Amino acid sequence: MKLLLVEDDADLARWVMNLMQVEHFVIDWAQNGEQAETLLGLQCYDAVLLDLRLPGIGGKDVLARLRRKRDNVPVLMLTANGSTDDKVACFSAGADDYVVKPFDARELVARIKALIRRQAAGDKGQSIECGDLRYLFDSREFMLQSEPLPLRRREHAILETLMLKQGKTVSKSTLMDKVFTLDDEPSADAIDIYIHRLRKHLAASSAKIMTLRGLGYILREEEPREAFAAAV
Amino acid sequence: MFSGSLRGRLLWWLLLPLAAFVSISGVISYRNAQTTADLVQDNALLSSMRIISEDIDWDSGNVSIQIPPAALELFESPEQDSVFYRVEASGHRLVEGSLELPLPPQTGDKPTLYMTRLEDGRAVRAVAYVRQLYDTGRTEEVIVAVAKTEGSRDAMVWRLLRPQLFGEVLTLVLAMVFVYLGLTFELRPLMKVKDDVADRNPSQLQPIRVARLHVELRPIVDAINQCIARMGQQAATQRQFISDAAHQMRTPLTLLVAQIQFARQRENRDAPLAEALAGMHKSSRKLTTLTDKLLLLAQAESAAPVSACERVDLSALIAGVLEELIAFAQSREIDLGAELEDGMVVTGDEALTAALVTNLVDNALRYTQAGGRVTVQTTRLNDVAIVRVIDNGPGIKPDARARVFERFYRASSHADGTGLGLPIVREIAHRQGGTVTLESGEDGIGLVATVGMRIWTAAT
Repeated sequence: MKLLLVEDDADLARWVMNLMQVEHFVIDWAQNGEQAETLLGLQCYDAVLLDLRLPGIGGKDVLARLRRKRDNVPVLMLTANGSTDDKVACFSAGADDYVVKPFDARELVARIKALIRRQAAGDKGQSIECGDLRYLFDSREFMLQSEPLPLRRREHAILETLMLKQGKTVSKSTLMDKVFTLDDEPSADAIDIYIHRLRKHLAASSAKIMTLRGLGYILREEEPREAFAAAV
Repeated sequence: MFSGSLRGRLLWWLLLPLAAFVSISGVISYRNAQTTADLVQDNALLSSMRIISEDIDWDSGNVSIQIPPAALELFESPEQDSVFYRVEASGHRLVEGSLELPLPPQTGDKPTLYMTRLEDGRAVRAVAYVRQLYDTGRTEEVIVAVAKTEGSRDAMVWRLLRPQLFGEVLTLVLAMVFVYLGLTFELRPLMKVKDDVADRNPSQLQPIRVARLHVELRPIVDAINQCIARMGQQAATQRQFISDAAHQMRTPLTLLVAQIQFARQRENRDAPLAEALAGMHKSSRKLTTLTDKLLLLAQAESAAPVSACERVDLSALIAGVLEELIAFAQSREIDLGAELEDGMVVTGDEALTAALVTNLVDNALRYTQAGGRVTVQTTRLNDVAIVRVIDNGPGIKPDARARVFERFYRASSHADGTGLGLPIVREIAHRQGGTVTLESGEDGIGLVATVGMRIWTAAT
């Protein structure tokens, strides 16, 4: 897979390239907007990492011209400050995603892969992942570490709901709506039991169902403890 | 007291000349009243004297007189003035009356009006006149003097003066009242400008509207507007500086993080080196967090005023913040939850409000022991939205509570913190017209951080 990095800081570009090469990406580097446009005209890239602020033609302009040429190569913006203004600017210019500097190498790689996969799947989105848990849209099956995960009907309905709203809170009443039909006797306690069982199923997985007391449940990937050593 | 007030000074400008005018006119009125009263009194005295002198007659060779009552009735008045008379024939022979009344030094054929004092000290106005009485070749000079105390005359002066004085004082008072009212009314635009400028917070930099202002006030308002525009430019420059600084600081930091990550990815059998790299990784994260918070604080301080007036759905915002922090809570085995009131919408900047809640919850998670409990609670109190972040951690001692809002102050060295969390919370809360307080939880366990925010109203 071939990437284009547009970044004016030569040192940073070198080290990002080093990191990407470790992940077996082929990566080209353009130091400014003009060079980037030339390279984009000549080559075909799987994804572009574009710095928002560049000398001369800015990142937003490069992106806008690219989109005007109906080139829909996935573009990941690198922004220096995580302000809402900057994020909105990125998306309105046609970016697919963004990362805030200083970024985590793992996060950057994961986002690039996700972008490329989305592009390749043509938005059919054959599957979505949460850590090592994968949900296949066609068969509506769950795969845990490449093995099918056998689930009972209501457990499946709950995990499916959580998976589709991955990272977002799903309230107990929403889960009850999804699980019980009009004929059933809805029970909040039953939801607790299903969640408990699902947690057992996912004990070995990096995907975890977390409880946000008073709000609901969230499915998300567990992050290594080290990640919080001095996080936000 | 008036030196600082335009209204006061204008009043003085009007009041002083007007008062001078009223005093002068008062003095003139007083003189006039006196003249008139004197004239009336003198006429009465003259009449009385004439009546008396008419009645002087010869009685068996001697001058005699029967004082006619009409001569005294002339002086009847509510003031009950005392009347004195003295009729003296030649050779200072007293015919009638009292010797108490002094005579003028000179008397002639014409009546002489004079002021004098009785022996008991009372001042009287008197008239004296010499009448020649003829009788068979004999001429007798009879001096007739009539006097009265001045009670009725003084009363008359006052009666004449009173309506005049009343009119003048009324003019003065009315002039002051109307000038005051007129000035108050006409100064209202100025007061509005004053309120407009006074009520502003430091970041409110839109110009004052000039429409419907007096021509005289426009230059002042224009000057203020120019000043505001310059301040606005400066604030914009500062914001730009912060934004540029963010970029400039993050680039080397990004580089450092990338380099460390690259180094850690290499197979490395040298354990101490690997440990050093892990330490560097941790430090670089700390530095990143610190930079983020410094920039957030700077952003909060220079937040544009318009951005502080957005409609923010508090429940959705808190849910979003908790979703971000649940993994952190999970890693610390803390039970994170919320008790949210429905339909809470506040006025503020969405990103800053989120940063405020994030910092409070993050603090609670960071300082609460494993197995603890952190709850975000919202309630409504009149037009204030109360957000409480309640934990059952170690709490903060009362004497340290004020200090935790100082930058880089750390109440505890057990946890990894930047010392900027609570200063950011306070800066944002104040910027959005809110409050923040810390207190002990129930039974003195844990900490309750309470933030008051303005409920959204369509008008704001």
